[in-house]
Amino acid sequence: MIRDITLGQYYKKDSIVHSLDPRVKLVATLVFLVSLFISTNIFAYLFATIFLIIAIYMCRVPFKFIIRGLKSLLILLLISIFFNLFLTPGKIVLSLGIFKITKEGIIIAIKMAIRLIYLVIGSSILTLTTTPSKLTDGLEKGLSFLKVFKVPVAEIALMMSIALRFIPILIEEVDKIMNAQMSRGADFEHGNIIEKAKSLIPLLIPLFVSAFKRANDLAYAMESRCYSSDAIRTKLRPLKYKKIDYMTYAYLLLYIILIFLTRYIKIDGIIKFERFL
Amino acid sequence: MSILEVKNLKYQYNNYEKTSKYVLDDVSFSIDEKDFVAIIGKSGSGKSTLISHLNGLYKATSGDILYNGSSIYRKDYNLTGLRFKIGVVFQYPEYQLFSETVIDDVAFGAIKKGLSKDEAYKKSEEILKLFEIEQLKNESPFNLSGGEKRKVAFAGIFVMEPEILIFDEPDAGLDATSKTNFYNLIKKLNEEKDTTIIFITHNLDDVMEYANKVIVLNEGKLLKIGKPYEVLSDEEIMKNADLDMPYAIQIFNDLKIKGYNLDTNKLKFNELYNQMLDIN
Ligand SMILES: Nc1ncnc2c1ncn2[C@@H]1O[C@H](COP(=O)(O)OP(=O)(O)OP(=O)(O)O)[C@@H](O)[C@H]1O
Ligand SMILES: [Mg+2]
Repeated sequence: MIRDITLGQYYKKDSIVHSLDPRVKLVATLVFLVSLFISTNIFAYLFATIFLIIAIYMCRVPFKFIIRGLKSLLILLLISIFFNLFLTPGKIVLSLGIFKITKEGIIIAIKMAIRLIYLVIGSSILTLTTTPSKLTDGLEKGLSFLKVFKVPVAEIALMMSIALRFIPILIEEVDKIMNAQMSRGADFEHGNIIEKAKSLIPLLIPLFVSAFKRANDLAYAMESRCYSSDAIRTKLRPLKYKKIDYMTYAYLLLYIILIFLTRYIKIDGIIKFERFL
Repeated sequence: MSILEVKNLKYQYNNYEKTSKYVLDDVSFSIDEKDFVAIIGKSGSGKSTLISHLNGLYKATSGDILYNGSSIYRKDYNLTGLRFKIGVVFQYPEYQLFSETVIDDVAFGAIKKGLSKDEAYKKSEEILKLFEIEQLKNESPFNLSGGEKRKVAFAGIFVMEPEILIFDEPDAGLDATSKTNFYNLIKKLNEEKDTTIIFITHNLDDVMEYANKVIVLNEGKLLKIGKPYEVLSDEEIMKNADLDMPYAIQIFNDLKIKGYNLDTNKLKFNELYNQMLDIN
């Protein structure tokens, strides 16, 4: 289960999406996430789905690998579906004792599930196709206007990149410790949820020990290379927009306009466009 | 009767890409009880990957592994139970140690196996004595030297008294005395308790000294399995596997060509030495 977390992992491949400027991908992810939350009807979800399918297809990361990350999300998904399904007031469709399923509940539960799944897939595509260092560069450059307001952009970017880089390292570490314990008779696969959760406890201490050790090593490495946050640094490969990046921005603009337009489509039996000009 | 049988084993680390390379490619062999098996091959040939399959830690992409005749990939197979019977010491002891103190770490497997706490700790101390590191029992395993860590890793597996012991480059980081002691110890287990031993090594002299069976891997393929002399004296196999034939074997071969009658089953240092002395 822990091994299935794809968040923060990078998947090496040659694809158009991999070669895009990280700023474009950051903006695209942001646009996509916003579009999910302003989507109100089926057309918006349709466009979002098409957008996502194109992204999945273009990034050439195996689909199975992308959705692997969803498995660890299952519990969260079920909880959200559960609450939305039973706790939304409205027209009752089915009633089981104190639990009442309403029509509105069903719709909201479906919407929430789609949003959550798309959100995770969308942000995984960003990290799957962008190395942590590129992501940091993109953030740093994209947010550099905030320096005017004395926001420590470089430090924030560095913190982000270290955090991002540590996720896969920690997962690897968990994997290692699990293997070590399993080869000496620990059992993580059998038993009920409580037993499984209990078997994870002996993982935590060694995990923290090694995480601190790694953090310490990293600090030493940075210090021994005289790292200082207010030094002026140059980049080995400065970020520069290419033609494909501008084209992607154009597509993004088109996408967000389409999503906005869907807000003016009303569905009641027949589809009508409301006046919006 | 073979205790462990590997059938057409294939493995790729990334099974999401059809084109990713097979780190193990159609490997088949069988190991008998009381065998002392050496696995050799150059770096990256798949040795460590192979042994991680033998106690069910890795699941093969295709193929099968039989322990005492039954497939360990059967749905209801008790893999946890298997791991008490097949003990694997990893290549890097850092990957194997996880407890706060040495003694806790060694006792882990014994407790999981069902021993009471007292028994497990008593036994663990005995084993630490065997490796002459009982004074380290309350240290953190992460603060030990490389050789000390390796001994703790050995102890953590020995304490479970497995039927098959598997070591990945056990001599790396050990001083000469510790290395000899270690090999003598597993030799004794092999002879007196019929423990089956499998070890990976880059030292072909140790292969001649201890093994009765040798497996050669190259780029995930099994090139040859056989008696030490059969394998080590096979020029073509050794060349394909990028390994150097041991000097002793080269001399041995030349003497045989010159017409001396030598026993190819006697390759241990003493045996070789005596055979050479007997020549005149
Ligand atoms: N976790 C991993 N992910 C992807 N590939 C791996 C992984 N571990 C090993 N490999 C690859 O599998 C191949 C075999 O590795 P393995 O560790 O089994 O070799 P080895 O024979 O034990 O080498 P050595 O003698 O150096 O220990 C290598 O090409 C290696 O790059
Ligand atoms: Mg190895």
